[in-house]
Amino acid sequence: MKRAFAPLLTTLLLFHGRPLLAKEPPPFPPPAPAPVPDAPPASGEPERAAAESASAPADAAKSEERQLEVRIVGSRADALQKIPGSGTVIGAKALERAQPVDTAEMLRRVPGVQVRQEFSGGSRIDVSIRGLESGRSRRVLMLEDGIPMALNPYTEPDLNHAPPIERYRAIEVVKGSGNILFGPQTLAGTINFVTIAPPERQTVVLDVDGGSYGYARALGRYGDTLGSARWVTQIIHRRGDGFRDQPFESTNGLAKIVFPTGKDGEAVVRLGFQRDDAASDDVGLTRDMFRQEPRRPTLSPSAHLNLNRYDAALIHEQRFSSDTKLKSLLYGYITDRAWRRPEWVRAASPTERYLRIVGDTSTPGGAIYFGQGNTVLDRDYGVLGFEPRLEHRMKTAFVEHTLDVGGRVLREEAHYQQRRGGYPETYAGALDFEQRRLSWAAAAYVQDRIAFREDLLVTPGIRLEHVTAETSTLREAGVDTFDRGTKPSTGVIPGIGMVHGTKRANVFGGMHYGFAPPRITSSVSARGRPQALKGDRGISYELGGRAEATRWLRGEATGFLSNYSNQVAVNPSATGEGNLADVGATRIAGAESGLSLALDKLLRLRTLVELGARYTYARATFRYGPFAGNLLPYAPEHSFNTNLDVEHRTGLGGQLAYAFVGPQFTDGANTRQEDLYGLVGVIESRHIVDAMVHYRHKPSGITLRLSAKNLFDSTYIIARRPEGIFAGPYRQILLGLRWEWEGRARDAD
Amino acid sequence: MRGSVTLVAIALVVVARTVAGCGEDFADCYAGDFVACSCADGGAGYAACSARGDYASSACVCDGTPGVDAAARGSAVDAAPARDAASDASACAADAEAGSKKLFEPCTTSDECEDCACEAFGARGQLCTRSCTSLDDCPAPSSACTNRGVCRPPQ
Repeated sequence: MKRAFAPLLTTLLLFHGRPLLAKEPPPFPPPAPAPVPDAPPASGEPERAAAESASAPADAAKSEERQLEVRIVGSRADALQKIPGSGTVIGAKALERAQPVDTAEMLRRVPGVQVRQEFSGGSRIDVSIRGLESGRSRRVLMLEDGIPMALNPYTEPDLNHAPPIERYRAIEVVKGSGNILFGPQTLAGTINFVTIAPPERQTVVLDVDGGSYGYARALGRYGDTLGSARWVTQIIHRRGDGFRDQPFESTNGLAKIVFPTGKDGEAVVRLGFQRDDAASDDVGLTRDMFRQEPRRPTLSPSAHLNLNRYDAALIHEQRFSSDTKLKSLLYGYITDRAWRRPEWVRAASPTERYLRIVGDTSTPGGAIYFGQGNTVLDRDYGVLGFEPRLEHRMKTAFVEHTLDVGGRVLREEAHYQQRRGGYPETYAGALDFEQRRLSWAAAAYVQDRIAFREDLLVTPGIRLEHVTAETSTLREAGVDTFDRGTKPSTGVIPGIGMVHGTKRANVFGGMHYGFAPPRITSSVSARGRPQALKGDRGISYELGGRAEATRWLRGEATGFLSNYSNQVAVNPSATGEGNLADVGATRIAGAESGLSLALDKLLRLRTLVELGARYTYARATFRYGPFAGNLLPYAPEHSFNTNLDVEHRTGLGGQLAYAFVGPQFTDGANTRQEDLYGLVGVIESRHIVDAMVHYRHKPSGITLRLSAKNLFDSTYIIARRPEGIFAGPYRQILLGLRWEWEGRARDAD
Repeated sequence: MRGSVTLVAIALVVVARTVAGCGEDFADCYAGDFVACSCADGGAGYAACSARGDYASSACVCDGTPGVDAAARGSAVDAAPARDAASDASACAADAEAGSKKLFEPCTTSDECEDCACEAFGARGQLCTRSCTSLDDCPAPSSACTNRGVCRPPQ
């Protein structure tokens, strides 16, 4: 499989040769005028306002406009007004101010988004939007520069690596009917991470962090120009002992070059890799273990995961006129992941000899018996895609149109091997199960943003998705076999959105068809087999408004309703074998809100003081069957978070952040009482406070920071899956140092 | 720039040294844990975790697998140990007249099943099942004995 992608990588590497030597200056046409001009630079979105407030220098804004990555919202002042639904942009200023340790810290600031991230246990990030299942971010379309990130975007849309926040300069989130421009999943939302931009001048960044639980992180970044090309390269390494004695190491690299391809064209080549090497278990504490010692280390220390991911992308933009441009994306990435999980059972056999026994052996089901062997889940994935995206502006009578037309051809493949190892630490073992999967997908979309008046935008659109997945099982239960099956799936995804108002205040509404192709799910059981599931299908509606009431107060609120005829969610059964299941018809209804208060402007302070707050209510319920009316597993009804940012002119600043997640159930029956295994029972609400102070010495470019995650050292259950109780991260104190140096622009030398 | 680099280098060393000492000590084991050991006759035994949280001074006990007897005594409870003592399963086990539904027939409570175990299996809904310790305990067409100790219905 790796051989199949080698030509792509080679092509991308060779492609930049000629433009690097080009001498002509990069021609960039002026940005096309916005269809709904409005003078004041206001964004209706609180976080963006906080991030990109008046302090953003003009040249930075200009540089932002010149980036070629696919943006799902964009960086223009009226960008949010143009998307047919709710959206959020977390910009570079917000990222710089928060100095986040991980991506989750920033995503929590988006109304309607729930997120959990851990570096230990396999570098995982679980994101959900508006009450959908969060595991491995599989219900959210995750993009990087507009390019899918999941293992196999159609048939296994899991994100098995946590992209480091240092790789990005902005995060965009679109909910509602704006999703139909991107696919294949158009459920509740799309998240697009925008990678760092090559600088206009020589730039050096060194950044180190260290702290409790053996955590250490080092980052190096260098960027420069070469002729008319700009480039940047970055490497990040982090390691730690883990909160539950699960050591991890992770390395992420990125290289990016932007160069002109002619008078009206420009291209980006992006190369990246990630390598994770981490202890990663699948069995958590039982009820009594957690009561006895909630901070007990992992029960399965020899469980381990290796992941390698390599990606390459070429993004080209050609402007045919000031009204027409074509953006083309060619990308490929491969992921190989091997995860070994020691054998264990909860009910012992008198004829077996176990290596270790943990828990309470005097109570049936109270102990866990670790056997002699293990199971190795060895999987390779490959994705190759091409997407042309055409944007054309035109006018018919008094109506302005912005037409988006595009498509995608994508090939994805997966190779599963499951081996039975003779001892817990082996990655070898006898082949027990083997399966190959090959899918071809094609998609097309068209969307017309119609400006009837300056204050009225109507955006209808439709997306077509088709995927054919071929699965070949080559070995089953240790015996060679050949079992081939083909499964086609088609989705027609119409949507419409409307925005009425100005950039300062507008209301929006929309509806779209929610679709996600059928997927393969992993089994919880070490001996289990991957199982095919149906896809998600449903209709979503939203209605909301955003306003900048004064210079110091901005807010937004959105109500939403989604009716799914089938939803893939956490298996509602306490003893179900799969970690996901088709749970049938569901309904998700709720509201999300965000508020940004610029206290410095209100109180006329010389120090920047901003308060941001977001609250989400999402009630996700089964519609029919034995659990009708009950809440879906792992779908909390309430969540709230707030942050207070302070920046003094001297360079001293800080941030205090508080996050609340309400109680949630773990099974379809909504069982409150905790079971013996720790699998079932309510997960109580949690309150987490993070704090950070920093000092930035501008002349030297040095920043010193001290941060505390989970400041009050709360102990809480974050999940009861896949098998038992897992506690959330404990208090972590981090000391960090950053040095940034920027040379003079080449043309000024 | 040279001054800045020097300052950064010094600071890096300071940060690195600060990092080095941080961490948390975990016990080797906890009360109730056992580890495999070899008996004098070469047979298999188990050593219990000491009150100090280690196995250093623990004797190798050679009278079988800890918990196996308890599990055998409570086999009916094993059928659905995910429920607590007041669960359907244990109530069913105490009832001399268990249900008549056979393995993998649809059910709503454990009382209906001849093995006193009614469990939900994802999209298949709730089915009668049986406690097990290995696949040998599960008659065909069951495909596995799950980690939770019940027979899995055929796929």
